Amino acid sequence: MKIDETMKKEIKEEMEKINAPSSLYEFAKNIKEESETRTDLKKLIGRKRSWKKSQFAVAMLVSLGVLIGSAFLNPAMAEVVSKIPYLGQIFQKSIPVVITEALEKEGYKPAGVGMGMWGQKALFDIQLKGTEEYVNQEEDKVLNILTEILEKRGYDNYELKISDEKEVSPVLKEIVKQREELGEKLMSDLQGAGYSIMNVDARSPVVEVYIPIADEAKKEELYKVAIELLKANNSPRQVQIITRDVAEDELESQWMPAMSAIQEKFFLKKDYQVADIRYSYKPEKVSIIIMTNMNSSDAEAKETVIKIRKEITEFLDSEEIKTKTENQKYELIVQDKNGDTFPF
Amino acid sequence: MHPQQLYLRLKGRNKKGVLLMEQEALMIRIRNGEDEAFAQLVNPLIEKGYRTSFSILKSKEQAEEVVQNSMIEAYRNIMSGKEIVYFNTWFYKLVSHRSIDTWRKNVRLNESPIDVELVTDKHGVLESVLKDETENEIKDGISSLDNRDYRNILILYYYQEQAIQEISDLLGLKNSTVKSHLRRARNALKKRLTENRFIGVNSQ
Repeated sequence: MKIDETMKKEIKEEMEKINAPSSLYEFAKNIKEESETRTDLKKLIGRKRSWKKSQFAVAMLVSLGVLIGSAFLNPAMAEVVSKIPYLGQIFQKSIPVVITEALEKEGYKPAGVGMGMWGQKALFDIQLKGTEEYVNQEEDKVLNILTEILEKRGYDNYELKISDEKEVSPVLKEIVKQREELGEKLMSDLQGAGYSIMNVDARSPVVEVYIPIADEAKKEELYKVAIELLKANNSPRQVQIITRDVAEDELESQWMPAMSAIQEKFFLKKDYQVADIRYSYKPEKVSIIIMTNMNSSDAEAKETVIKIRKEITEFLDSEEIKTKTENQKYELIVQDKNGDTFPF
Repeated sequence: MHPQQLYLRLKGRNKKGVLLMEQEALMIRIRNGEDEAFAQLVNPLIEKGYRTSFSILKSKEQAEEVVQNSMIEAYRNIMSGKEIVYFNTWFYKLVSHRSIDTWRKNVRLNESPIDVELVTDKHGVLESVLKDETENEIKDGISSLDNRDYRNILILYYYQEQAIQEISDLLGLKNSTVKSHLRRARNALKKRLTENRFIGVNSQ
């Protein structure tokens, strides 16, 4: 499998050298006209580069999930954040909470603080309440405040984006509302028919029905019933029955806050050279895999790996976290660039 | 808004679900005449689409034209009310298909069996893997006609992440041919990596 990944990576890197001409974005903007005058495809002149913003916004949505998870914990304990906080400190107060509080203190009204990975960098998407004009005018001041906060924590691997509050389009709101109602209806109908249903998510085009893994045998039957119920409801849709391991789900939510602190620290600081962090939650053992950009032969590799291990282990073995994770067994794997575990 | 409200667990399935929903809303807006929504829908896909097309065609003009035509095709499909669930996958497949169509036309027009580009000095993994293979084949006296499909298979499999079945349908090849090309590519890369490592050790 490894050779496949290397191939994939190399081809991807090669592809990244190819840049799409900006005229294509202009083309997309004028699609109606272009579609009507199809014969006139070739010569397009006078390009503006106003596409970046929306491209960015959609891509953000895709990547937002990585870090956002638990970035928002109980901000109860006030504490002085010193340079490069320990994981325990991050755990007490994650950076989005710190940012939100700092902005509020300065009189701003943050509408949302998103944190996600954007390529190899963490990206903060901060939305402020107010008009676009107001936000533009305040942008520099806000950036200064935030840069100071992030520097204080010793973070150096991030980008900041300030924008005004995004509006959810009425069309989307309406879809979501209808779908949620449909989901609730389907869930109660199925439960009424005697099935144990964990959740129904009807927001996306394919309706997802979650059932406990113990009921795996009923999958096919349930699929047919769900399809029929939706049809009877005048809303025929595609259905997917998904089994969930209740035990794993529970573990995941127990571990989530701790994992988020780990993500924040190791993604936001360049020195650690962390490329990605993955988890698996098995009742026998929770696994944490830290994937780095280093090779075993790199001069600083050993020291960095030991540092990463030490910090995470000390954090996870602290009494505070152990109470949260109920002393669950875990393994920590630190990998090199090629996916091999470091020999130290 | 209180920070707690920001607690969005957009992981895994949900993340995808949200994206699909966004795309659906965009398609509805496009049908309602909002052109801006079309740009929002396709902009995130243009780069990868163009890269794929350019790698297959090796021509900026042709790649641009293919992506433009694909956008028009996508737009018309949306306007005609076609139900597209996974727009990303659908669009990338469209671009791949149109690129291969154009590539076939090129091949028909100038029937050169081996890509001239193979012989250039500067090459990344695609070129070097291909070059190794071509050299081997010349050495072994095997016809290199198949090599024309070779790079396309690598692009479609590793970059577009298409299934072997899809690739064989698209290129009109047997499953086993696609698999054997992939195997050869893996072996060539393995060989190259071992050689590099060897040189690396010696130079220290």
